[in-house]
Amino acid sequence: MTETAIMKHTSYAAFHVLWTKPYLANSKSFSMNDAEILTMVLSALMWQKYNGSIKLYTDNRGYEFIIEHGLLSLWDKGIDTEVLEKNTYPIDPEIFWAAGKLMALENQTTPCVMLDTDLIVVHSIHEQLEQADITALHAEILEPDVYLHPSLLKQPLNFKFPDCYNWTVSPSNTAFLFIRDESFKKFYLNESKQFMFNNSEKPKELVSQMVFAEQRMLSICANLIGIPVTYLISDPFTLSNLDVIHLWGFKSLLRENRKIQNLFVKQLLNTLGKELSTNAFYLHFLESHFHNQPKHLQPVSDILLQSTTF
Amino acid sequence: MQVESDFTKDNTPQVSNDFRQYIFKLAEDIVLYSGSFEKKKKNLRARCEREIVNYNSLEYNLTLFFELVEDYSKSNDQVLYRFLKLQAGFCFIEVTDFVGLQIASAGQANNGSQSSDKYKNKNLESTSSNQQSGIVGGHLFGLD
Repeated sequence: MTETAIMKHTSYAAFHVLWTKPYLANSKSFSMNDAEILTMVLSALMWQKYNGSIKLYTDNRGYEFIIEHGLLSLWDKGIDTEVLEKNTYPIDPEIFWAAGKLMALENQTTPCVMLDTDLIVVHSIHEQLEQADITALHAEILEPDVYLHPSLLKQPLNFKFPDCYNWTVSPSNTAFLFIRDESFKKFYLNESKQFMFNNSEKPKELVSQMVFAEQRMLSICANLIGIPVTYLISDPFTLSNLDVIHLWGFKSLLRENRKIQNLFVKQLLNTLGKELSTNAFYLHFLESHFHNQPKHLQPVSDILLQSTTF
Repeated sequence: MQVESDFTKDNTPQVSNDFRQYIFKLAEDIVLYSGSFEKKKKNLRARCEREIVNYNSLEYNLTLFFELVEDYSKSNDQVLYRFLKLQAGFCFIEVTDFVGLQIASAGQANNGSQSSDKYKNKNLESTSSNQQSGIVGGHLFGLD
């Protein structure tokens, strides 16, 4: 695939979000481990290589983190700190820990792609997006202990779910979300905000309100408007998936097990890293992050010596 | 538009079948019969020299493999099992031999049953998985 062949397609504008407020609600500091940082770097660079431009929305603490790790020029469309830093919505970041994504989406003009930092699209997906109005990663199972019955969902005072909501539609995993139409985006975000604003009664699990506001709401809104939601992959674990790596729940294992973290880093460098062997940012990133490693990361160093020229 | 990439191609150096068998027996002794890796290192170094294999790298990889076997025995995490298989490859242990080590996969042990327990954790990024440590597209970077 030549660069010319890639560029003849539309460039899809994507964005990452790094909202540290939910982390800082529980902890004094924000951090990401090497594997998470590498995944975010590959996510941005692979998107630029095959699909289009990408921007980062973050807040001041996130921006400091980006500077500390030498990532300022990772996003070709730059970094926005205004949207998240100046947002005054009455949203509890502990309950709605992914609301920063929706705030950023509100600011982003459509068509656009909301891309989680732990998701890497490894090929061009122009053909899938050209045919769709809404594309999410995959459909979710309506698990009753995650996607709670409306009567069990914590809600704002005096809030009532509209009667027209179809509670039987499958939620959509929004680690990847493409929206073409601006009016649909506004409708979806408006419905979501009505549920999130002043909704501060904490559930037992700190998940149900967020996944409702983001993932189930998307499908309910699409169903209401009559726009079909298409999916990048038919199910999360299908081997016919040739396009997407998503760390998903694996992040918890990565955080618990440093050995797995190192092995994962090594394997990503050995595989996807080859795709970026001429990318100047990537080579600089490798040098600054992995060149002077402690002994326990030795195999990664070995790979760097073999695969880079610095 | 689909792009053919070669980034999943295996780059593991080639070694003789004899060497593979030797490594498998070594692993088998340690994993199945609680043998000591320390006592085998001298011989391993000599075998590596004969095979022109980087001893330090292999020693690191085998140590990591045995540690992961131990981690796996405690957690039965299916993703960890996939990484264990991957690590076996770095130790020149082939898939068929790996099976011979009788490390039962969590998928076999519990039929891969999905759990929603992770939703009960205060995991800020557990957005939607119903797998404890599920990863999407692991096969795209070499996980079986």
